[in-house]
Amino acid sequence: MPRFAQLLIDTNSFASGAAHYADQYPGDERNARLVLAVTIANRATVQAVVDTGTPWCILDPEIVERLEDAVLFTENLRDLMIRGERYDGRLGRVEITLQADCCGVSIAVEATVFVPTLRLGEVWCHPNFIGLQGFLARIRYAVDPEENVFYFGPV
Amino acid sequence: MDGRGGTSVSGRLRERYAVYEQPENRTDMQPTRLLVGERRGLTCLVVAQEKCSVTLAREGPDATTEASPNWSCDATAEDIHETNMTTASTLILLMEENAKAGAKEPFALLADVIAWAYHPPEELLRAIELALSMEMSGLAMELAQLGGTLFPQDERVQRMAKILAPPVVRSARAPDGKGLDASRKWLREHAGQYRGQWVAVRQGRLMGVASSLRDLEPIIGDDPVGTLVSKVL
Repeated sequence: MPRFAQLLIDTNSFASGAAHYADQYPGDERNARLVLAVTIANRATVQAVVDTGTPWCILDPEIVERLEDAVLFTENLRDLMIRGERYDGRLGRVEITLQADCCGVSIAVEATVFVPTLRLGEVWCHPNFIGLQGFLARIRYAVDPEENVFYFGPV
Repeated sequence: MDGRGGTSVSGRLRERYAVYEQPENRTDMQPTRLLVGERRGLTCLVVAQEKCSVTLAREGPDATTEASPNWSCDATAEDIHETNMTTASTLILLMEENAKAGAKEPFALLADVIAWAYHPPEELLRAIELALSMEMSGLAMELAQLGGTLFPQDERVQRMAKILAPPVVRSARAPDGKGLDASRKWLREHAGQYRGQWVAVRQGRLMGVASSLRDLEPIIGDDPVGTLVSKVL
């Protein structure tokens, strides 16, 4: 049981569940991140970097390709600046679940995501991201870096 | 000068923008007068009655005179363009111009003062697109929600409202994420050996490696929730 589970989950209902997080995204060992495992549309469990600087969640187009029918997309392409590069893509709506793998109850979030549309031969070389307005804005969260635990719950 | 009644406009914006709306005794009509801003020498006078007329005037020594109380206006600058565009179209053009210039404050003010109920849904959708292009995601979400209320029959607006709705959170019965920690640990220790590849890990065990996620489909399909898949950067 994580150290603050009783305080944050049982006592005052700040959170409903807690998950461990990784410090690095696979293959990107140079940068410290807060990386959560999330399940998209109950059909793929992937890792995603918590990033309060991006408005939307950003998903690897290859992941979305296999669950396209579970995502409601906008009609038009638009662009978004991701790590200094501008990418075309579509906004969409899909359910993303935060698994309470430490303790408590998981939450499912109907989230707004940006899915890049790659040009022929282009390779997506960025992590998945969990964004602020499309996801984090409606959950409470707290981070304990001592135990690598991310507490979360609905607002 | 601020006739918007009850809507706050910052002092700085009020200096630059005078926004008129319909007199209180004419609540049955569209907003009757708008004097929208002075930017880069372009003054836009919009006079809207049941039949709209619009005058765009390039600012000069005698550039424009304010719309008179009987809702007519005169523009005496050299560069005057009469147009038969609707008031709505003109305001969208102003939004476009502000978007192009990256002028977020006037753009947000326009989005705020425009009476969207009197505009076709296409124009609201265009404003949302512009807000997104300016990375004004909060404003885009607000406009989309407004559109969802104003245009219940318009499928495109409803779709946009749904996609740009605030996140909806609910408790989820499953999954409980058992085995994820072991899979994370495996990734931390071994992912470096598989750069550029997709890996599928379950309960701390490598289940498959492939150059595309599609090739891992048979493995993921067995347990999509309990299998952690990741592309190693």
